[in-house]
Amino acid sequence: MIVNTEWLLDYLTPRCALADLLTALPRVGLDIEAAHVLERELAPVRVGFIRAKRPLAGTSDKFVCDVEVAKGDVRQIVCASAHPIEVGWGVPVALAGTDLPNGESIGEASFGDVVSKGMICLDGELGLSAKGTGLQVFKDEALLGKSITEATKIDEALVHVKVYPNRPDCLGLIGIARELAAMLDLKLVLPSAPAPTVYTKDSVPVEIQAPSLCTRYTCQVVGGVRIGKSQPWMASRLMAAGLRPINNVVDITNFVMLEWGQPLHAFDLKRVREKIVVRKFAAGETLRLLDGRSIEQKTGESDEYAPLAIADAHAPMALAGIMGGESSGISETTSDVLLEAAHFEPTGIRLSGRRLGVSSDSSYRFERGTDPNESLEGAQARAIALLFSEAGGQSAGPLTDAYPSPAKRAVFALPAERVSSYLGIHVTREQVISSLTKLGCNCSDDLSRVDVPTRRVDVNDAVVLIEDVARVLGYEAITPAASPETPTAGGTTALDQARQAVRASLTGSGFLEIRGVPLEPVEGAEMFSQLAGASITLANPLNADLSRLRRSLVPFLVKTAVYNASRRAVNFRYFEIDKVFSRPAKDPEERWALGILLGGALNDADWSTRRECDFFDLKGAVESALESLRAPKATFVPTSLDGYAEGTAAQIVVNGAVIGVLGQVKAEMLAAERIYQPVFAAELFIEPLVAGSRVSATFVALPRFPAVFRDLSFLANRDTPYAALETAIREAAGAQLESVDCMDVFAGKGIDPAKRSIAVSMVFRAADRTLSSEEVNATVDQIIERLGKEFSAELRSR
Amino acid sequence: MQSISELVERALAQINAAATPAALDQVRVQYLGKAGELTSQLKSLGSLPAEERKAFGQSVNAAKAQLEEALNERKSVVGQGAKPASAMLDVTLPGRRRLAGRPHPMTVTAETMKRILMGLGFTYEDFPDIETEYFNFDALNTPPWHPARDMHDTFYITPTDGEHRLQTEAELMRTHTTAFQGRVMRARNGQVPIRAMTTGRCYRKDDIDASHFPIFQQLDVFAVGTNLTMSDLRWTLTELAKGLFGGEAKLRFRPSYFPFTTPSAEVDVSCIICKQKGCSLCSRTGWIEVLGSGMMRPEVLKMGGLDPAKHQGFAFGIGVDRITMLRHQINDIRHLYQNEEAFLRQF
Ligand SMILES: [Zn+2]
Repeated sequence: MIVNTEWLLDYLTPRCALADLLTALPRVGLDIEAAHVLERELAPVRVGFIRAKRPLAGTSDKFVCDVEVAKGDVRQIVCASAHPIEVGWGVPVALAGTDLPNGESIGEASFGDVVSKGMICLDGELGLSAKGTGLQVFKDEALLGKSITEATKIDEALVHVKVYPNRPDCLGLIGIARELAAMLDLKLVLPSAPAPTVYTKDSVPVEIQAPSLCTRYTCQVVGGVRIGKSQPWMASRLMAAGLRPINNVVDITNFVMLEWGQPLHAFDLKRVREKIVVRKFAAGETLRLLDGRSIEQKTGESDEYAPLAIADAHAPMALAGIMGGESSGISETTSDVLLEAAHFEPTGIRLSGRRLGVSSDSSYRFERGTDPNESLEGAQARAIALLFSEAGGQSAGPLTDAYPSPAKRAVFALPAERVSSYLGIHVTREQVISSLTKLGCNCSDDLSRVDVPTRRVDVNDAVVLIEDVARVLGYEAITPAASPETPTAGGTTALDQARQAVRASLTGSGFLEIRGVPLEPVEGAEMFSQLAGASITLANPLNADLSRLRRSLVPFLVKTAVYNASRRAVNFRYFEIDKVFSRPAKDPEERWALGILLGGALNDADWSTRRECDFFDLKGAVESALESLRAPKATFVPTSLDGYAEGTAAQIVVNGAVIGVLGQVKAEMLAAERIYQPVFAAELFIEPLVAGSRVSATFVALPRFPAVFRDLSFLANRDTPYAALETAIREAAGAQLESVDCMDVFAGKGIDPAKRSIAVSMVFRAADRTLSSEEVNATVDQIIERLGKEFSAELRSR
Repeated sequence: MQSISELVERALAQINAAATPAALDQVRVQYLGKAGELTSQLKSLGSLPAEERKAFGQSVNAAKAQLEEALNERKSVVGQGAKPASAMLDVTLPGRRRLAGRPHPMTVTAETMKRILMGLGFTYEDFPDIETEYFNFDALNTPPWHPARDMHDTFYITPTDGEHRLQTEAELMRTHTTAFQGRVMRARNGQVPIRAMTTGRCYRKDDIDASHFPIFQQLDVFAVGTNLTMSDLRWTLTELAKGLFGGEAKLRFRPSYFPFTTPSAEVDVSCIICKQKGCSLCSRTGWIEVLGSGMMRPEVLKMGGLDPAKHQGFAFGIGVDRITMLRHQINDIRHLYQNEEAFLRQF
């Protein structure tokens, strides 16, 4: 909603300064999206003098004007406004390229072959409430080319307000003014609505057949209106609020809606046959709406969802609360008006609007909740008065008011102690009474009874009144104070600690943490995913590229490498910790994963021993990450998985369970993205590691006897995995073998091509004595024998 | 005649004072050279009575050994850098290394907040990204057809074939981490106090621009006790702001609306850049909007199995992306998800 402050100030007395008004507005609790102070924002609009005007070819109401906008600078501007203009007048001109405070951008416009270089602006178009005829006219030639903010005093602002769903009572200026009056200690001034002076008997009976959807329906006839243009004061206010003036009667309904927040509808009385019936659309009934669209209640469709109609004795005339029908609306020939002011149940309006895809300023208000009492009555009376003063109304009929079960004011008890114990500050009884009274509540002296106006549809609990008190006192009154309650120890989960440990391990080895996008395209193969079960897709994605929840972290890591490679950063060391998604059974499953990507040079700075990363650099990073979790030692089993090059992938197995995969990313995939160096990726699931890791370590006695060191070098078949050799060594050596490490692997020159040379370094130790050389030598003999027997390994040296 | 001990003392002083190998060599020649002072002592050996010769000889030899050791020791200190020019170490060449790894700036922001809040007694836990309509909306006092549902443009999950779910069981991507409130309260089974927090991704159908991304991260917090007040909320937020933005950070509360809190407050922090003198970051207002907060609605407590007549609580939610952008003055949210190395290395 766009609020012109000058209009808002009509409802407050004494008049308050614009600056105070703007300061107080946020205290109401409305979302102030922007406050355009016009004195500042209208600066680009300048005074131009009309030097010549001629009718635009083929039109009777448009003129081509030569407008001098600066000394000697004459522009051609087409004037299509309803306001008369004369040669010699100085008028506000917005040249093409100007942005107006209401959000409109002025551009060049073509009218046939005539190009208009700007716009002559009415007050309403500038966001101003008109003081005169609706167009500022300057006679003083000295003002030529000057900004209109210099030419005249402008003390208004346009405030773009978003009214939160809880406060539909603020969808009218009176609602906002009432709040401001309370905040600023001003008096609310309701608009004058003198009762009609001439009455006729003309009236239309009302029948509410759907009382659960329509709580109250009033209508009244005003006879003898003359349809025409609205007065400048009204038209400019509507324009400032972003509404287009249509005709005086329709403008009155809109104006009063913006004033009271109560939507109104005007029927052409001669279209209303016999009576008004508020009922649901019957099967087969159709209605052509004011915006040209048609709606239909199809035969066979459940009556439960049928929208509510305002019908006459024969057919629907309007889609209740949402939009009027085309044929029953106000036209140039209308002379008698039937004015509707009603209250509809919010949910019904909302459901119908949603189902039919129709919405309007009226439905926006009704679906949030309007006031069936004071606001409805105030708006009704005000509109009738305006139909007399602004639309030439001659006579009024008696009011028909169907209100089968009037809404009552809600009552709550709100002792001051409750307010204090909720806000945590001392609030007195007087403060509570004064605050709530300002907002229209009636309070008993002991606050055992606070009754609330029906316009406050949000007050369904006393806590809302506590908020009201806080707002009137000002939130700044709520000072910080530490809780008297016994504190609890804070903490976090083992999973969270595991994520932090893994992150520290990887950043410590020079990896950058990235943040991926968890949504990916549905199209394309499911690369790198280790998950079982169906993919999870969005029913209403933003676009096809963001429509499936990702099943692996690796694709985005590859994407990150591609992005950075295009910026010449080619030493890839990235990781991400996030969830991957699938649906293995009925319920979706979210698993925490760690994705790692490595490629390029081992070191970033290296002028001597430069080398490229390989599989074992990534495997080392994975092992370090596992070690940081105190996970049991992992084993690695060859595997294949889409996305990894054949023969390069391995499963990571911990405690007998596969917890991840690592390997080399397929070269074709990278070459397509112009990356020609080997890139390695891994993905591990974190949760199983948390479950399997030691919570806290138990001390093991430190060795007290010296160790004996032995190196062993042997030739083994090339296809014998190292892990098998190591396992055999451990088994053959028994408990005395403390550790065995691979020192060297060599194949090539001087060695049988089917073999490779492997050197290991072993440490032997006993817990209870010093091992003798002879003992150890005997053990090494056993190892050599075992390796020979099992793997035909030949000893090279020991 | 000089005593041997005096001579040794003087020689040791000179050895310790020698700063270069050349100077050290001079000291060696002076005392231990052919004509050195100690060597010449031995020459006087013949003039001594026979019974003193042995003892004197021993003391000279001991002194000689002492000085030689001192010379060697000193040589190892002053000798460095004295290698021939061909083997000189160029200490200015770059070190062989990897650039340091870094956590993502959003991680740092979230972990900083978590740490502060853990210190204030809050317990951290993770919750699902895929939520039910019930926990995301209904349990937060936002029933179907509530206009507040318009405030969140929600991504729904494609229903699985043949699976009929109740409306409240419909799956969606959580639009806020606030959805965890109902789950926490249900798990606590009516027990208070509760001091809980979570963080994670949230999803809204926003078009991508400099300040919007359909995926963002929130950190949500709530506490329920028998006597918690809005003033406790303000205290908690003040402590958090001090930890995040420094001790001078001030807070401002503004009335606002969330379906799950009343009173609701939008919270602004005093501009950390301009110290409230006015700058472009704060749109010259001196204040920056950082989070939404309030006292938990009775309906929310009730649906969580608590008794609004006995229990009171507060809640707040913070945009981790936004705080990260503020802390580092990042002007475009897309940087956070592009992962350009030049960006990641700045934090
Ligand atoms: Zn600032």
